[in-house]
Amino acid sequence: MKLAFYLGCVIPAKLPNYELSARKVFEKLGVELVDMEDFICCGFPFELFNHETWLKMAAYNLALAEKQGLNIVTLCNGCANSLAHANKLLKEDSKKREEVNEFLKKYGLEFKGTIEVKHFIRVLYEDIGLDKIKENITKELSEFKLATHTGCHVVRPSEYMDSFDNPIKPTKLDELVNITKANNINYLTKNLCCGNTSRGLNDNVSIELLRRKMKDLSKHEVDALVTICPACYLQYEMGQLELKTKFKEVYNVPVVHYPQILGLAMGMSAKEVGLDMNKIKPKKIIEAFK
Amino acid sequence: MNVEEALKKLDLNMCYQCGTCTGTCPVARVESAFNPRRLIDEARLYGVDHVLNKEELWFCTECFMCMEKCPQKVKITEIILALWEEAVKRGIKIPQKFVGLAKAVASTGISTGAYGGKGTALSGMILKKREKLGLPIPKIKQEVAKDIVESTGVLEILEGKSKEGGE
Amino acid sequence: MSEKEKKKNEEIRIGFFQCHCGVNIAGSVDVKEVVEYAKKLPNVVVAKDHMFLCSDPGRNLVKEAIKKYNLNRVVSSHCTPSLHQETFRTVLKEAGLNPFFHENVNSREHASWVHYRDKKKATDKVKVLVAGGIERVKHHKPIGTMRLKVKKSVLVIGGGPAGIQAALDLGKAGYKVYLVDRRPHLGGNMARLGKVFPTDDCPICILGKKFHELRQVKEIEVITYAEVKELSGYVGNYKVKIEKKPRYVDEEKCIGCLTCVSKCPVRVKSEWYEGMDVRPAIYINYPAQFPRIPVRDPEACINCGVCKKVCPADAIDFDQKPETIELEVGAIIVATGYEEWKPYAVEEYGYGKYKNVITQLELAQMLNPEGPTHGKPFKPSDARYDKKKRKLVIEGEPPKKYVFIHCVGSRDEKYFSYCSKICCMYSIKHAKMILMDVDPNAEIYLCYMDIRAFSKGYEEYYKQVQKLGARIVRGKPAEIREDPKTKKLYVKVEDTLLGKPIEIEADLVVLASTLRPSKGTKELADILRITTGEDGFLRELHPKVGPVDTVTAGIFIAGAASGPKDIPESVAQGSAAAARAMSLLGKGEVEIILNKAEVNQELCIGCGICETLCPYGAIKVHETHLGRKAKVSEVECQGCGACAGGCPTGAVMRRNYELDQMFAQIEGILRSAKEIFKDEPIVLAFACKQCAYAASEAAGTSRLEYPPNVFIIRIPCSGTIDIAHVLKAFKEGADVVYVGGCEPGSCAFVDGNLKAEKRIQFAKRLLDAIGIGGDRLEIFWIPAPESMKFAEVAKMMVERAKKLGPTPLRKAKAVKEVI
Repeated sequence: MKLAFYLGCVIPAKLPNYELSARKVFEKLGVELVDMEDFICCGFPFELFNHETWLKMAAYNLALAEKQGLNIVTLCNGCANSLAHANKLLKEDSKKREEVNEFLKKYGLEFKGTIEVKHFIRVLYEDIGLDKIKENITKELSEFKLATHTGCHVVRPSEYMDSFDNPIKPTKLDELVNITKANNINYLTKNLCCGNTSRGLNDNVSIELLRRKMKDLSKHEVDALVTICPACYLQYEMGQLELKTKFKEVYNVPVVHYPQILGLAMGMSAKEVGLDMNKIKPKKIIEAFK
Repeated sequence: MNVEEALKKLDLNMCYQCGTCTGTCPVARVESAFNPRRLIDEARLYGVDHVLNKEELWFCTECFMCMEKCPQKVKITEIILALWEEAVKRGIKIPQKFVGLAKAVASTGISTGAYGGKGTALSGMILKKREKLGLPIPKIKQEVAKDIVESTGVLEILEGKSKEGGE
Repeated sequence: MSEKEKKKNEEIRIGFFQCHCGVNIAGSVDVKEVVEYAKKLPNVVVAKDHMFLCSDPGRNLVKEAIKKYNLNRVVSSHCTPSLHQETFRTVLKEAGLNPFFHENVNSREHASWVHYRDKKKATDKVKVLVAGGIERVKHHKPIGTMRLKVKKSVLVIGGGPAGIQAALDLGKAGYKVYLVDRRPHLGGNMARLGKVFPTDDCPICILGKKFHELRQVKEIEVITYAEVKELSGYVGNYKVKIEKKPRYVDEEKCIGCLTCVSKCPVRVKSEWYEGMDVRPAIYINYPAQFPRIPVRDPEACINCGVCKKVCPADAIDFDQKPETIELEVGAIIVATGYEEWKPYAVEEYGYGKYKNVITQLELAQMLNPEGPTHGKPFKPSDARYDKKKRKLVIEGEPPKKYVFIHCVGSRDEKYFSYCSKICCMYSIKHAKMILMDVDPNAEIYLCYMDIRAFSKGYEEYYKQVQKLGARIVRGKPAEIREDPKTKKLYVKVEDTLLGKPIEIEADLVVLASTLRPSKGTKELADILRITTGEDGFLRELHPKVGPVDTVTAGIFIAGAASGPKDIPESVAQGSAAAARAMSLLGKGEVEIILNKAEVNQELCIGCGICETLCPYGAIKVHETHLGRKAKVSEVECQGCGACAGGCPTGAVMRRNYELDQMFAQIEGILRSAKEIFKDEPIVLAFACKQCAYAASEAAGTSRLEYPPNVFIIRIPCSGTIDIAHVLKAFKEGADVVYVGGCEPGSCAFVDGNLKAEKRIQFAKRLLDAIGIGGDRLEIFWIPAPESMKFAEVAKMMVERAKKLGPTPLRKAKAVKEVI
């Protein structure tokens, strides 16, 4: 399988651990990633206040991959949402499509609607499949207590995300974690939004949502919280550091990216999946996979 | 299409005020001023102007849960985002975050990032680290981003109006 | 025009009458202009308008005009034919003309109501439709009637309150009645409740009285544990095949002592009590059941034979086989009721996942004095089946805090749009029962959106529960969470009146789930050749004109089978359906109008294609002295016209939809449309009156706008469509043509829609071949309730016509010789 790899903004700059582990996992599973060249921001942040800008940016990126004839895979909930939404909208709305194509002409691009956009957990789940992944698992993580946080934009609005997962109580990430045999706990605030998007709009909302989740999770003493989105990850990791410095609240919930966990289960070392770069160290896990 | 029409298309008028949205809203639990049901009701009964300058309009964290659960299929979150766009267009409120974002995209091709608005430009240090990890150098086409931002005039909307608004 | 034709036309004297319908038509159509236009059309002798044409003075105006002007044809332009076509046919009859010399132009639903913003266009459209009507009526022929003997017997399907009432009314009036129920006994869902609102009497007491009456009326034959499998025949003379399932207990021999039931060692979950109680393998559902004869469940039975040994009447028979019963009846009443939707899909409430989230019908079993706990509610998380005692054991405190959630699944665009009508009332009833009979200190929250307590005595009933102290919260809960240890539930809801999101702790959450048509409703509807609506319930002919009638003559519906209803309403409908059956069968014969198929013996070549097209076996080829010729059985023919549409020589025709009549209408419409709408695209639609035409009526009622240059011709079934109609339309200048039919599986004439689809697909290829283009012709499935879809299709086809431009035929000025 060959996919156009859309990196986005945050991951290449701030989360090399996520990118590194994802690349390694894909390699092991026989997926060839073709790094998209000449890409730009997916447009997601503009969807909040300027639709036209959002749509043009997303369309440009979609048309790029379309030119290569490859489906897009991305590691970011926001990018997946933005690109999938634009993809659906442009496939259905001929007027918008014409407008956008008029603009794309000068780059020698055209949106035709021939490709799909998927978040990488969707690629894992649908295109590779749990069975194939299981075959590659060599180490069981049964001694670790994990919790998952799927995040919002990879499942909602379900209309744009092809109802890939249950939009109210997502389960696909759990299934993917469960195949590592880790002790994946259920917790009360599991489906609570991370609150990252409220940063800079209402910091109080953002902090309070973070705090509720951390309070709940610290009760469970998990070895790590598993995320699949750079925004959620940063909110939980950097957010905890902020709670510590600003409010003297310490929760110490390590946050990891899903492919880091999967990588370990596939026999990679902590260093190989970049766990040394996580800021709140999942000590027990690192220790076990030295 | 003006904003009223846009909201109609998002089924603003179909709301029957059941409160599922507010009941499920994570923000409503931490900020009592935020009540999506009421925002919807006020927007359709008293008009868009009535809600555009409300502080709480900006409290939504776009988790889309209300929209997913709405029994009337009202596109609640999208209505709120359409109101944001209108408020920005009219210069009623222009969050600094948006200005910084648009500028960053125009000048680097990629956005400021998801946490707290700190820049994500792929500077030398980051590139060096990537190299060390064996990660390729991303090829970003900044000119296209700039071109798009200019073609839609989003920066003017953000900057022009923000000057008038004195932000 | 030849001399002969001219002469023939000169003899035709048409009167045209335009109705104002108050302002309904006159408000957006210039009726005077229409009248002036009609006056100028050939053969129109007189044209007049009237404020209300259907009123006495309006009808007299027509009647007097017929006499004064010696009219022999009448075109009246007003509302849709399904409302007043019959009225004016009667006027013609009263004036001494054959009723079929009349044509109805639909100027309200098809013009004034849907083009109300543009008076000019609305008026133009009416003119075009009038031109079509006037051209058509010239070709009308008289159609006669025949009298048919009918059987004075009725089959009632479903033994709930509606069916029982219908059976009693008919039986007491002297009609033979067969009351059939799928369950092993009568009573329906009503028998599963502890009390019934608004009088709070016990349903068994009411049913008991009815059962007693049923036993007294000797005309009524009760057939339980049986299902309808096949229907043939026609109004007044139906033949029905019923399959009686093996009960394994001889109904004649059984004395109802229930010894077998008490001795059976098996226990399985009881469906009757929603799986909350257990029953033996040989069982009855409730003590007062009628007939009081047990039934053996062969899947649960371990064949130990104890029942056989203990039966004092030797009634147990393990070798019973399914039995087919054949009945001959004049009419059928369908009263198959409802079932409760199990709301697993409403993820946020956790039904099926959290044990203490149940439905109201399940709570009804707990509150039923004959139920698993004899009327005491419990938390299912506390319940356990005790193998030794062979019964349900409750270990734990009874629930103290209840949350009732209204509108679960209903009034929800994700599931069912409609209101289930009775949930507010039964939720209130259950709150009342708990507060009055179980625990006056229980905390009961009713989370509602709107309380719908609309019938007699209902608002008062609602007040009682308020007085009793139920806590009434206006808001639809967004989420339920369960504490996995304590099994306590936490309900998140916004109190919308306070504007505050709150969380309510509950021991038991009860969902008022949607009422759905009972299982098998669609299959039964197909057997009976009646239709279901978008919501899945049986469709009535018309909510006001025929609330218990169906599209098939002699088949009536009653109770919740046609939509959620409470018991008083169901009983009233049972009586209504019985009265309709009596009025049909009372005289022992019915008059049938012969607007059916007919064969022109000269043209018929005896090929037999019509035979293969007829779903009723009503047309057959016979050997005659002229050779092999098709012949129609007029009693069996349903008038769908599928045979006519497929006849290769034009020998078979559907009366009143004959080729020359259709051609005349097409010609009239298109000639006038080309003249009035000039360069605008012209779209012609053929709409089946069961569905697409009904949808166009609904579009009118809802004032859904679509472009005025879509002209609709009504046909009895999409299967009536003939490729010749389509070609004629293109020849006369239509740019786009489409046919609207019923969805596959819901054709009132079995599969006329599929026949139409085949013809249209063929015609598309033909159009491609002759250079007009197949994409100018389409067929759509437009169910009757989908008025939006109707308007959307109309818009889309006008867009397509615009995009494709005029046809080569319309571009060329002289088109006469092309086809």
